[in-house]
Amino acid sequence: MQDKKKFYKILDNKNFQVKVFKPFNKLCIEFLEDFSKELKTYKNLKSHPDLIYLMFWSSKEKIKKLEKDHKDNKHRLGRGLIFHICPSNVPTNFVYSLFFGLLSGNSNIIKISSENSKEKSIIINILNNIFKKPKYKVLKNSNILTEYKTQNTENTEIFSSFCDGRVIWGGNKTINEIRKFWIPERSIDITFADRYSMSVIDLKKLKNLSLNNLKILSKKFYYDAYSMNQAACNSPHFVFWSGKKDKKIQNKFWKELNNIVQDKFTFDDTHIVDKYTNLMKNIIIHDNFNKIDMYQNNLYVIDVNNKINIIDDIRGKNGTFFQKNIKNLSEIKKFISKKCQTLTYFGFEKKELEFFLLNNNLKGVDRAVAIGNALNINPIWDGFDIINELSRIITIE
Amino acid sequence: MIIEKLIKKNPFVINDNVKLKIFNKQINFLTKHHYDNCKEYKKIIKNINFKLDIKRKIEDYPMLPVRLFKEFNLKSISEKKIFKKLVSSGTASSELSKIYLDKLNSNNQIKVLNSIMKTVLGNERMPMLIIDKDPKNHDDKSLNARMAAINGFSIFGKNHCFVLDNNGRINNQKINLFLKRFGTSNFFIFGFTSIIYESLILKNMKKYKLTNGILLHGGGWKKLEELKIDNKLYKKKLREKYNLKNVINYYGMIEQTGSIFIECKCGYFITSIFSKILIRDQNFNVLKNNRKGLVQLISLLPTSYPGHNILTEDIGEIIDRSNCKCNHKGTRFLIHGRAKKAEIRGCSDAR
Repeated sequence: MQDKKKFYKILDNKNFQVKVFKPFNKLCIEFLEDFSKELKTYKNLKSHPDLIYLMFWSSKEKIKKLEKDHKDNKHRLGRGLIFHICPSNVPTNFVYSLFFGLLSGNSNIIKISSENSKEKSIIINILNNIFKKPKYKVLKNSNILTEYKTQNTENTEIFSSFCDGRVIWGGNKTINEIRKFWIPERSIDITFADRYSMSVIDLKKLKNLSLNNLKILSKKFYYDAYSMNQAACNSPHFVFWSGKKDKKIQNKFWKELNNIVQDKFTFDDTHIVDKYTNLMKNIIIHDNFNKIDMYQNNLYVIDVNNKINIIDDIRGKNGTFFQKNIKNLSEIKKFISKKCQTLTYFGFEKKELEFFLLNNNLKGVDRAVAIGNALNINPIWDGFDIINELSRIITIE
Repeated sequence: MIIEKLIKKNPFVINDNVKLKIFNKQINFLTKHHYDNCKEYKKIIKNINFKLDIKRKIEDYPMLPVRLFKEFNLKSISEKKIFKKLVSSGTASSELSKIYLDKLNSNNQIKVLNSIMKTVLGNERMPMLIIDKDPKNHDDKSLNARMAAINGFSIFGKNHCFVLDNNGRINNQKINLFLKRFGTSNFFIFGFTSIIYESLILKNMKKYKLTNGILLHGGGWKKLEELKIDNKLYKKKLREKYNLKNVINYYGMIEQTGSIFIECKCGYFITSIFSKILIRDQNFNVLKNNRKGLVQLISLLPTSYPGHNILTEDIGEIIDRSNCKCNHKGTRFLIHGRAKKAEIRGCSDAR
């Protein structure tokens, strides 16, 4: 099953060697730090918010904090060789996957999508420059970035047969395709299945906001929902309004959101056609819609009625949201399924959310973050800690 | 009834204000008709809170995006009345439009197509050269769009000669025989834009004169855009190689079969009395002439399925009538291909 010759041929690096390290070892931390510094010097950084985020994410302070969060008094080492299958549609994802692999003490094969993007080429350039430094020779020979079409299953088959773990960044179709390929018995798969997210907003707190703060909140919501065309698993589709029904303030929120979209967002023609088609599809498939507000084509808001129970298969597209009024937080219990990933919130205390999420036997929601932070990247994702999962624990008694 | 009346006239002579009156009345009628007879359509109209009994401008009536005909079986007739099912060309079955016709709708399509075609081909049926395979060799239970179009247009010719074999290779012997018999007077050539280009321009090395031919072609420019061939160059190549001067492009879609658009001598598509075009911006505001946007098409024909008012995925532009020297009434327009596929974002497939 394992064909060493083929493996090295595909890797195109004779010196490749699988090395394991302690998580958060000095060399890897320095590697990330150098990356962050070099990215900072990129002259056009301003026009790439995702690169600015990446620059801060990989800075020394951030990594130190991450290390602190991962201290658990256990002896750990990397699992070995991790094969990462990265998505084509989140341009910066592959570098985070590499960093998770490095920080957990592994050697890595990163399958990058063959789709081109400006962000991708900037990142690859910087990585290559840093790998060239003599001090990172050992990392250069234990980490490979590779680009090939997913249809080219031979590579996937070979890489799978040698790896100690795979990180498969979904969606479901990709996961099922990749899982067809054998991995050694002790190897693990970390998969990120198709998920979706929802928001909950406290109406009383919303009402107390100044106009300016309401604008800021809608802008944060805009960022969560529109920057990935509402197609990321962490972008919200449903908005639950908690507390005494207040259409006026709800509509004010949507109006502000509409203004921001009008101001900031550029749709492609296909986005509009997709969005309009999706709305019609939803109408045909689902019952229980009360009212549809179309803020031109910038924003569609669909009021659902009380008969609705399952929302798993109701999805918006390019700025289409479903809304429902609830008396209190615990009313959303029945809507939370395994498929639900992130709950973004406004107007709730952490303690309140903690109590709600932990004491209701919920199968979904792995993450509650304030509105505006939905797209933040953290090694704890989809309910597990990637860095911990990619390392093994050594007990000495 | 209105169709019966209109097909008796030349479809390009009726005045704009008369047309407007007809459309105002008919679009209201068709919207109500489909509301009463198609449950999916009714659900949409209800949900978007569109009131049927208020009089409005044509542009304020709701349009269905064409993709709905791919994802749902939309029809305004009972199963028993289905006379014919048209299926668009395409690969994956989920991507195929399904159009259900009853006898009346099917007949109207033929009659209207006939009325439009007469203005280019005249009243007499001409010998017809078809740059495609013979649909007879295909199972036609659910006609795919290409074969359906060939069948549909075949009635405008006689002595049909299909020049591609089942493997898509051109049979020059057949063409030569056809030309020997009919080449000295006018004849009709029909085919798909890209297939004609492939077989007559790219693959065929033989030269013969098609001087007396009237070529009608349609089906889209997607493949030719990749080869950087536009309408002008297309015509030039056919003229140079075959001395074929009469080359006419048509635009139409399976969702509105029958009421097609024929290119005029000045190179613009023209709406007939049976159809109307509107160009919309991203907020669905109606755009003025000479502005590019999404194409909306309204047709008087669809009664057995709710396709009378559709939003296409094409980008088009209405041209001032003053730019065209032809006498036809009707709106002049150009099609600029499909709306560009957007970059897909989100956490889905790895490619």
